[in-house]
Amino acid sequence: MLGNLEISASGLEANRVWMNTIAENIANASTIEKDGQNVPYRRREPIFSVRQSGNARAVQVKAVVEDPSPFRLEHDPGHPLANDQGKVAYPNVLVIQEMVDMMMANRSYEANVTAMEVTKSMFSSALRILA
Amino acid sequence: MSGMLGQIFDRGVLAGLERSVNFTVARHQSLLSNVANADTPGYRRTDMDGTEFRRLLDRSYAADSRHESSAFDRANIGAPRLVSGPRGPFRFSAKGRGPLRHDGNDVSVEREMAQLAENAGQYSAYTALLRKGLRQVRAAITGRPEES
Repeated sequence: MLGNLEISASGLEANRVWMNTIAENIANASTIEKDGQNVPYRRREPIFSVRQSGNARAVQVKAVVEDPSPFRLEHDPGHPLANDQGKVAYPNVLVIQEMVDMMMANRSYEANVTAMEVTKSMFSSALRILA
Repeated sequence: MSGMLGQIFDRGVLAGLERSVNFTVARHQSLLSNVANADTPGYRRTDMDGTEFRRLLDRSYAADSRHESSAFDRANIGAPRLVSGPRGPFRFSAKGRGPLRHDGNDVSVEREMAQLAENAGQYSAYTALLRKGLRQVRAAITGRPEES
């Protein structure tokens, strides 16, 4: 039964990594500079995959990958980092999308916490058999 | 176990309860995996077929009353490794599959949580009955009435 807690723990861990990535994305939603150049922050997201051991199918974060979608270009000729066409590249982060993802990660995290509590209550009723 | 104790523990009500407890534990693990993988692309939910289990349980009671070995004895139901796979008596059921989302996942967290609660309730009922049954055996051995 100990494996059961590990399954839920893997869910907690994966969702925490997702939450961290979302926090990074939001924090860097306007990061456009690196070494004096216009290098915008690239949105990142975790890849979840199944980790199977026996009958238990836990979840793992396979990798945190960069989102290849194009940067948002804004016309701002007065900007010190603007290119010859007067455009500045901004990160491909959509804050609204990140907020929606954050709610999903939060909800999944809570579901795993509840599942863990159910497992714990099953532990104690198993111990009561002998009481 | 053989002999008189085998009659008590390997057949009838206590054995049935033990099998039921094992089944709910196996199902619990399935449901936990579903919750953990609620956002894993391409994950398909798994569940244990309760109807199939009850059918086997009924058959095992009938076999017990005829003093024959049942499907459970042959499959050695106590061994957790047989819980999985199509060959074991606890079959993964494809019946409970939900609608596929765009990411190829069919887990609905709400439904998993409801079934988790239902299954845990069954588990606590079975363990409570098992506890009661074992107390009765103890009362028979010691000759003292069981304390509530």
